[in-house]
Amino acid sequence: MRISCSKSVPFSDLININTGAAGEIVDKNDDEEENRLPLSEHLWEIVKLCGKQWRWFVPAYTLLILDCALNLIEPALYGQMMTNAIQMKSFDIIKRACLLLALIQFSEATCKSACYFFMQYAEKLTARNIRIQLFRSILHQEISFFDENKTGQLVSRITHDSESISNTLPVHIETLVNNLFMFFGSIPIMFCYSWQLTLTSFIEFPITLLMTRYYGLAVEKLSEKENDATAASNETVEEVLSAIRTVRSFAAENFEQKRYTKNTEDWFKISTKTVTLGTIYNYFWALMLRSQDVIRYLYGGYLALNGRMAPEALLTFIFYHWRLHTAINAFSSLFSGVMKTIGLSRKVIHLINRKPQLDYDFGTETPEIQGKIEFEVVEFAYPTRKTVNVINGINLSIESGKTVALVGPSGNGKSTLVSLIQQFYTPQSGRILTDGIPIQNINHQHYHSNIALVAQEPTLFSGTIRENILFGIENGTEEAMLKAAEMANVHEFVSKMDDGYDTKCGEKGVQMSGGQKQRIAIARALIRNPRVLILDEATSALDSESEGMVQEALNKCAKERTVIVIAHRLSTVRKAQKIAVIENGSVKEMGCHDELMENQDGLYYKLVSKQLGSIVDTNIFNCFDMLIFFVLF
Amino acid sequence: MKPILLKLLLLLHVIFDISFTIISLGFYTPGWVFNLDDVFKTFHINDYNYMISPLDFVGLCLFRQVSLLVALIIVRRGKAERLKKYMTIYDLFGILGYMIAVVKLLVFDETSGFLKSPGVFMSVGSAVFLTFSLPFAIRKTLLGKKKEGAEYERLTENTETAANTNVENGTASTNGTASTATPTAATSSTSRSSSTDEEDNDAVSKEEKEKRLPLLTHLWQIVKLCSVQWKWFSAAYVLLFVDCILNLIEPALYSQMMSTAIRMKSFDVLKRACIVLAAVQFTEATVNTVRYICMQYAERLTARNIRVSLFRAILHQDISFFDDNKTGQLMSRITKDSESISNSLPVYIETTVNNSFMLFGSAPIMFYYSWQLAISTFVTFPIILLTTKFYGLIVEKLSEKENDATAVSNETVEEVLSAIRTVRSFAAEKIENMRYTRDTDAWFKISTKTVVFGTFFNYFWATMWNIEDVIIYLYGGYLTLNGRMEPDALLTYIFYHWRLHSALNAFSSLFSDVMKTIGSSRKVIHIMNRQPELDYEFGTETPEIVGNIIFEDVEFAYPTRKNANVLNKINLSIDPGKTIALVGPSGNGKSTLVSLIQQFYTPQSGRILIDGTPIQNIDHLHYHTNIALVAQEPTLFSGTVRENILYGLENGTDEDMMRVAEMANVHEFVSKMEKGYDTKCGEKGVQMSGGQKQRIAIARALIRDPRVLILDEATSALDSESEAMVQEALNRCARERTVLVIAHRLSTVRSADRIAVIEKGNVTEMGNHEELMKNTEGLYYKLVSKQLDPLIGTKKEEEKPPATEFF
Repeated sequence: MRISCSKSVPFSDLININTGAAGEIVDKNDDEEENRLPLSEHLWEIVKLCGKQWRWFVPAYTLLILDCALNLIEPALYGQMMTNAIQMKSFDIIKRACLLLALIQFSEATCKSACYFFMQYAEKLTARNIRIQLFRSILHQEISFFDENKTGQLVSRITHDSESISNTLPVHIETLVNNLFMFFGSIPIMFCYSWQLTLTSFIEFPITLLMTRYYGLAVEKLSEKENDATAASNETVEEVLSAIRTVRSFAAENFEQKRYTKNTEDWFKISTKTVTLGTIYNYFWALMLRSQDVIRYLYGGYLALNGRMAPEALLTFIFYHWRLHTAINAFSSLFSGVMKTIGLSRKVIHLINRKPQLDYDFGTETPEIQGKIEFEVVEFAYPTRKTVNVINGINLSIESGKTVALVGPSGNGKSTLVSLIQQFYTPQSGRILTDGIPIQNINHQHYHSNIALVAQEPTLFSGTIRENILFGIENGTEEAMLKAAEMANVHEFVSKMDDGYDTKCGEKGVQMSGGQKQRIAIARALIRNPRVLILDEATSALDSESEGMVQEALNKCAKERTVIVIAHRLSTVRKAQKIAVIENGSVKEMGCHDELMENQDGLYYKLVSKQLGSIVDTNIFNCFDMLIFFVLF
Repeated sequence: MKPILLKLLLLLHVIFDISFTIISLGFYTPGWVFNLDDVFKTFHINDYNYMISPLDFVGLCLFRQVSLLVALIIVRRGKAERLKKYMTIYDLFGILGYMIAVVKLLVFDETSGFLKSPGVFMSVGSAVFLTFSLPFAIRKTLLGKKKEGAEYERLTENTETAANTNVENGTASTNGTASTATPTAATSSTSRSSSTDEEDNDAVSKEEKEKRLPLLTHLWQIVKLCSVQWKWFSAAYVLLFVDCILNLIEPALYSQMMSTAIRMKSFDVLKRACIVLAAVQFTEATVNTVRYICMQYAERLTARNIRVSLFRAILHQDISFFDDNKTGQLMSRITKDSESISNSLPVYIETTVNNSFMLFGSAPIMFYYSWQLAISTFVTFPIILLTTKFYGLIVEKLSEKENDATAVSNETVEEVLSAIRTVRSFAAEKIENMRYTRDTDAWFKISTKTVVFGTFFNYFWATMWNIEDVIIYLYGGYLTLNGRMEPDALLTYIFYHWRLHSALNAFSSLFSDVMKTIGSSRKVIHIMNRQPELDYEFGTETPEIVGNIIFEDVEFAYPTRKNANVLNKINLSIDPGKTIALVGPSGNGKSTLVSLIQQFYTPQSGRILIDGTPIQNIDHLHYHTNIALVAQEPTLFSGTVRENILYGLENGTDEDMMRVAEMANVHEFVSKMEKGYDTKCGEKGVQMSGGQKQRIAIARALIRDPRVLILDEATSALDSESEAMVQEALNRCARERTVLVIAHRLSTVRSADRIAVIEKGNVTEMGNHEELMKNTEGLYYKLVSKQLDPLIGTKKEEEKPPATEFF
């Protein structure tokens, strides 16, 4: 470490605000409030995260201490050289001191460089691990967690917040070790040279400490608010950009621009507050240090002139004082830096520590799944609307190897039943069994290998068609993929594309039509050869011809497995062996098509009649044919 | 003609070198008198004395000529490429020659009165100049021929060379290096520029390479972004100057105080110096504080403006831009990259101004106290500059790659988290974790590389300055002990040397940080400068829209698949006030027609007219107020039902909302919800069922009372009863507007005034339901038949009673 003659405190280092965009302050979740860690525990969590790379940090800090020791020798040599030059002593003494100085400086440079490498390497490694761990932790949460936390916020946590941890804490520890050594190393030496001068250095110390403490606490709060503002802003960006077609369709660019500008304004206000606070603190600090300097020189000169202190001792003392000065400066920025790190990392630590309410790693059983699914007096309400039951004490039994269709008005719980089978949520009461076993006891991987879902709006990823069909399968073969593609009628349109199965789907499959997306999703499900196949409006975007082909393929598959179908099309529903009519979260009717049609007061009859009503003309045409037949007869 | 001129220049260089070196030997006596005896005396090898003999300069001259000869031989053998690689060695030779010459000057100073001879200055000056200019000359003459091939490439090369040279000249002059150092910097940047070009060819895509800004231009863009707040920055910089001046006074005061104490002078002198110091320091603290306020305020204001500008620029891009750029990447640009700009550059400028002032302030003072020590301080400058430059360029590359890696991993995070249900359904958590780990490892690898380079650079830098320190103390002490320098002067010089040291350290950090900022901001600047291929602010006309839409010979292929035409010279006319249905197999262009009407893309050829006006000429807001789309998978936002219906309207009323909610059958389910219209839809409407989402989307479209309504599978997720209710409402609306329907349901399609069958990007059938059903070989007949087949059984059953009854 070089001696710096600059008296100006490096303000930009003291307040290194690593700020993001501002936005409305996100309301704290209830469970986060309850789980908010005390300061010391929180700091310890951060230390543990960084401490995992102890193999690199240990040599780094060892070399750092060695570097400090060498640094503590230099001021004495400086004093000796300067005094000799000034007092016209012999050149040999200067030569010897310079030789020693050169040796020490060379060693110091070597230690410092090695220390830098180890420290930085450990830092980057820590950043990598924090991100991966945070991503794994988020991925582990139950689905309702994602209902409450927006994607943009989570992305912000993984990149912006986690980087703050890895970048700041090791540096702070380095600063702490370095300057503690300087502090406790310089003070005894200074005492040896002049205990009177040393004492004057500590006259204002308590005032400084008090000021620093208040400032540090304020910085913590402000840092957390800024990070929250960043996450809120990211949410806006993510939502707008991923729905850019809707924004463009409604000419809402200015509307969104204003929304984002408002978010940024909020961040700006918080930033300005931080700047103001930092300014006041820095001014106070600078004045204290400068007044110390003046006192030092005045008193020291007085002592030397009175013969109570050797000139050489004074010079050396002053150099050690500069070291002390630098160390105290460092402590000042260290404290606010640490508090800032704590503020920034609150959300990250919370996410890493959060235990999912529905842990997909809970189940361990791997029974052979035949496909019988039972709902026993199940009640369910979404976490975001706890007081409204979507499923009301439903009882439903789906036999293995059968095809069951769920029909009913929109928003009455059909898709919710599927979400529960998929274990996205846990019902408030009741049980869901597969072949007699509660589904939460079944191993996650095993369960989803045997139960496949084709959703209402299937989500494709931005890779190729091949990658999308093989999604989640680690050892899928080309043969299996082609077989599934043929069955789902994917091959029919892929074979017309230039890149074939290597055609990219675009982000969220945006470069595929709705029908193409559905067929790819069906292929993706079929490739797993599941025992239970759930089709949630899986063919609603297909034209009649495509649907016919896919339906035929699905019918062939249905012979060996349980199929649950949610659809509105008569052509899809009619072939089911059983049809359950769901209304207000309960089963109103149950039976096959012919049975349900006999009940003319039932909901099913009404739904079918509405669909048949559109071909009244055809009926008239048929009557006309009858009339002709009559006349001819 | 030009090559001959260059060769002549090279020959002139050789002649001048030899002749001037020898002539200068004759002036090694006081006064401008040429002494032939001195020339001969120099060549008496036995009398060589390093302290007084200029024979070293002859050695340098000989070395230069041999180097040039070697270069000529290499080029003559047709191995110019190898010579290009050796140019770095030539640069090092130049630096070495410079150092030898400067040290020689100091050695001559040891002999009393020797500096009165003009020959000393002639030899040193010519040695420095000629040694530096040799690599430059070789590049211009021997390597210049390589660029005669492609004129375009040469133009690019010259542009980048000029930009880099300017940057380096600025840097060099900022560092206060002697003017003779400039050619080295220029030639170094030329060499580096060639190397950079080669890397660019591999790393950067073609389009981006064409638009990649030269270094200086890019830096200027950043400066402009920050300089919007010039009032605050100006105030900050003025105060910074004051601060620097005060800082430059301090070392002298330190020296005075220390010297007084050591020399046992009177206490009054000490008191006076302390009082002055206290005043200076107090003023400095005050000035520094005010400056800090101005700087920080300007910085935050700039950050705010950059983010808003970047978001606006992204929002402005055409839809195909979003096909190519993932959301996660764009988010990374708005937050991380733009943060680099606003946080970094004002600090760098501050550092530059501050330390430049220190440098230009300290250097003259140091020369004043002891020009000998000052010269020795700057001996190692060129080698430090050269190393710093190489390091800086590497840092720029690595920073850009690091940011790219971050954007890629952000993309993964965003995609996975926004599709968490699919990930969970397929138990793909482990695979996604592996994918993210791989992406993060890619970032980690680049970061590690950065660390390694940083480590070596820091080590080199520290070692050079340690050597510098030792030389200063050793030589300074020697001068003082010999009585050629006052002790006070030495002390003062050392303090200014430390100030200089800090300034140069700051420049070292500054340079790599600036390059890091440039690397980080490449993508941000690129996006902000990008002009959308389809600018929605192009149109200005606001005609009354009746609803006549015409496609004339339209051809279209998606930008990401340019070779596959989706629409093939399609011709289609939609009459105003009519309902037209588009049917056909999936993936044959129906939705593409809608995208083109929405102006998401521009067709390759042909025109799209509405009421006779090309749609690109119509004002964007006006156009989309009159044409509304309900998409196949409508996107809701995470606000309330009310907010979603009123989306994009700044003065929508509850009355309007209720009216359209009734029409779209939204009221039927919202009224059953606890919070009614204040119920939150969840992110992307995830807490609504498919049917509920479609109804809200329909209401959102209807509230604008559009002249043209486009329904792209808008009712596919509705049950029969809901669909019937919505269809009835839509039918009532259809009386006054043009409706374009894409659907597969017979119940939706059959009531249309006209039906167009789209296959392979063309209209293969056109007419109403009855007309098309007559063509039993047409596609429409087949599609309808498929839908009717399941009903044959029912139909037959219904036939039986009348027959039986008849009989």
